[in-house]
Amino acid sequence: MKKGVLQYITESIIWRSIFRTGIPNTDLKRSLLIYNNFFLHIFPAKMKRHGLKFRYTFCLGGISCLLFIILTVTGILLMFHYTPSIERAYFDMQSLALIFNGKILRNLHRWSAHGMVVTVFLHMVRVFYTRSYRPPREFNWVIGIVLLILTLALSYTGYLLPWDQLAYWGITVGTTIMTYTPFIGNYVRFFLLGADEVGHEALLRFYVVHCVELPLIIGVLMVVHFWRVRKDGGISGPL
Amino acid sequence: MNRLFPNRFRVQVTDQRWFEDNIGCENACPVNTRAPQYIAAIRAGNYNLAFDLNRGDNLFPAILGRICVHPCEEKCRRGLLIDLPISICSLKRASADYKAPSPATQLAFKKRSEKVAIIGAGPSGLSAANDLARLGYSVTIFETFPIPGGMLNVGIPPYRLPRDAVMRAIEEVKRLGVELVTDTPIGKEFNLESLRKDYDAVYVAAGAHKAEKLGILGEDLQGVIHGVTFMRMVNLREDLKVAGARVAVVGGGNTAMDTARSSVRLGGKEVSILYRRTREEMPVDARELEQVEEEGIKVHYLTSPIQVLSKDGTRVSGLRCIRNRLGEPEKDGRRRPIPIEGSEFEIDIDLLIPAVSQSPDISFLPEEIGLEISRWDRLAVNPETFETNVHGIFAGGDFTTGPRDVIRVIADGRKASLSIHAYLSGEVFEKKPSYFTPVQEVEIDQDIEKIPRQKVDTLPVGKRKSIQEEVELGFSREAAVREATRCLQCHIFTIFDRTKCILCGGCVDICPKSCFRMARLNEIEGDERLPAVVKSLYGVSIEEGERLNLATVMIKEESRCIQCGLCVKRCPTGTITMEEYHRESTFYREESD
Repeated sequence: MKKGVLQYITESIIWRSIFRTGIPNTDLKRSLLIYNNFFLHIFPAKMKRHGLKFRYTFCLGGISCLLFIILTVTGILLMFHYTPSIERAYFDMQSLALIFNGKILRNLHRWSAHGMVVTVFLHMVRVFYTRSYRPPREFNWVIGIVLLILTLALSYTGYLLPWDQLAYWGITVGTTIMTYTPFIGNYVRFFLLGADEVGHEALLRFYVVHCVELPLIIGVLMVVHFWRVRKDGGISGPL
Repeated sequence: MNRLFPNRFRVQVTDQRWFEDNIGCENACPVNTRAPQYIAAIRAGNYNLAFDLNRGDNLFPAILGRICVHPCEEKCRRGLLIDLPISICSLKRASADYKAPSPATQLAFKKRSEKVAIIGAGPSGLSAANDLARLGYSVTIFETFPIPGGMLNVGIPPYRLPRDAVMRAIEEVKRLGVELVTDTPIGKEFNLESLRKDYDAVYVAAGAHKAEKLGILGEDLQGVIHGVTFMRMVNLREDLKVAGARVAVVGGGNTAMDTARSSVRLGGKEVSILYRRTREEMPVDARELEQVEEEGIKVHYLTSPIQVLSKDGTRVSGLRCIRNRLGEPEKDGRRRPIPIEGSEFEIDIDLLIPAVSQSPDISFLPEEIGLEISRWDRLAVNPETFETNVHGIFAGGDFTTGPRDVIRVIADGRKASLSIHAYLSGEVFEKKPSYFTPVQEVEIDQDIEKIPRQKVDTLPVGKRKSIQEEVELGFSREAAVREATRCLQCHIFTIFDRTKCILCGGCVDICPKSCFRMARLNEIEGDERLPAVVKSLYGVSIEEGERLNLATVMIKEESRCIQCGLCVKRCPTGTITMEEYHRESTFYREESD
């Protein structure tokens, strides 16, 4: 009976209009799955054997991507609880300890952020030492550098959001350093803070940049980065 | 082959031959039956079209669908690539089983004045008669036996090939206006010489009905009946006392199996087959051997008879045998049996049926007309034209070669008819050249790789009592369609337009069977046509092309392709299209399309 119901469901028009290929148990169906599925079509249908070798990549790019996904999910959940105003920001952060799983949410976000900086850096070290930046991958190397800078920028902008002493003085010091930029130093600081001092305007700006602008840009660049990996000869292949 | 660069991909610039080689089944068939096309027709449920395609190529689908040795299945890509080959032979039978009955009217053709006589109404004679009648000749077939059909009727038992299937096929030939004269042996009085005077051409297709002897002591005793003779007696319902007898059959071919299985049906008590080699070397089809064993027939491998024994000096009472071991391979690749000294043993039997081989009986050929006889007591013919050294006399089929299988003999008849046509009319048959037709989308079942080979139903062993009762029941309509769905459709090819390709690698990636590869010029090697292609495309020698790294080549391993069409869908520029290849037809075919 149970099998009958299962069979009834899997053979229904609705099921088959969603899962068109069924269980990919043959070469043809495996290719069809990649070809027909929106989420899978960004992957190649097949890859070289060495693409699976751990020591070729140490999975650093993949880990960075995974951490970014964790950061996005936990970040969105934190946004439900957090108000970007100098009156409430610190207390919202503190009160995370009182809500269900709030602490683990915040710590996941925090440690993933630290981890992403590390893995992106190590990823670039790996690419550098295996000379994988050479043509035709030179363009992707440059995108990678931009992604590293954006990762650091995300970390920095996120640093202000708890609005504690560490955040306040961290941003004060950082933006003061920026004033030493020749000719435009003060303008840069004003542009970032929205005022002459670190205050409500700065918190709101950093919030928007951290939650909207930078993730969007980094998301688009990641797509380009992955696409170029495929175009430039696939993952981890020797040139 | 000596290869200059062992590390390079061996590529072939495609030509007509290449396309034909890649349609394994069609190419392996001696009459190039358009198997992929008729299988496609069955898949679409169009049994009439499937039958017509078969009839156009091999003339007797109902017969061949039962007894053909199907060389096509050995070359089936599915069998070589995925699991088991398509049951091409059984599908042929399905086309005959489920087609609409053909009208019983006589077909009219443009008549010619020349007359052709054919000796022997076997498959070769009938197929030659069929094609000659369609070409407009008046054809008369002379048959020694009271029934036409040759080995189909007197050699093969009815449980394997029902008589009405044979008679229907003969009726089809008769509908073309062919005259059939049975019970008329060509001999001393009514002989070849007089036929030659009355007819413009004669085709001798008298078959191979003479039994070859074992050459052992006691072979002339009563109770020794040679295989071909035994089958003739069975089929012509002559008096045979098999009931209750212990029967031993010697041989490993189709005749041996037929005699053993017929003996069981005629009431033989203990029936056994002695074969001098092992099961591996046995020429008989595995499916038939399985049925032999099912029917309780014991097969003694590595056993040869050495003397027929008799207690009373007139009748067979036993057989002395010796065990063999296998030695070095012979010319045909099968290992030679070597008798083991001291391993002799005796078995008690009442009937011995040696069925080792047959040969043509050339005794009726009149010496005075000077026909050339070869060293092996065969009529010598030109293997291309089937012409003998005497003007106007042609010969083919088993008569010139010794026993072969039906489809090869039909091919002889068909080729000989065209040669006779050329001889009589001076007109050389115009081949229909090969061509392509576009295929919009290949219909393929997603589960194609998982569909198992469909089993042909057989009569339960307990019911196999009568010699008339057919054992194989054929496919049901559903099973036939499902089996046809397994076909990979090798006659459909991916055709590439070089000028559109942007080398994106999409096809390389998506191909589920990894057929494609991109390579540089210095990674490939080919025959003399490759430099010519490079020269014509780039205007430089291949060495110069390699040095300058002028080109990237897309190469495809055709033998892996399952015609799924994913490369065509994936290609962003429309470089790849799928096209159906229609082979050059070298046989006379009545084309309706």
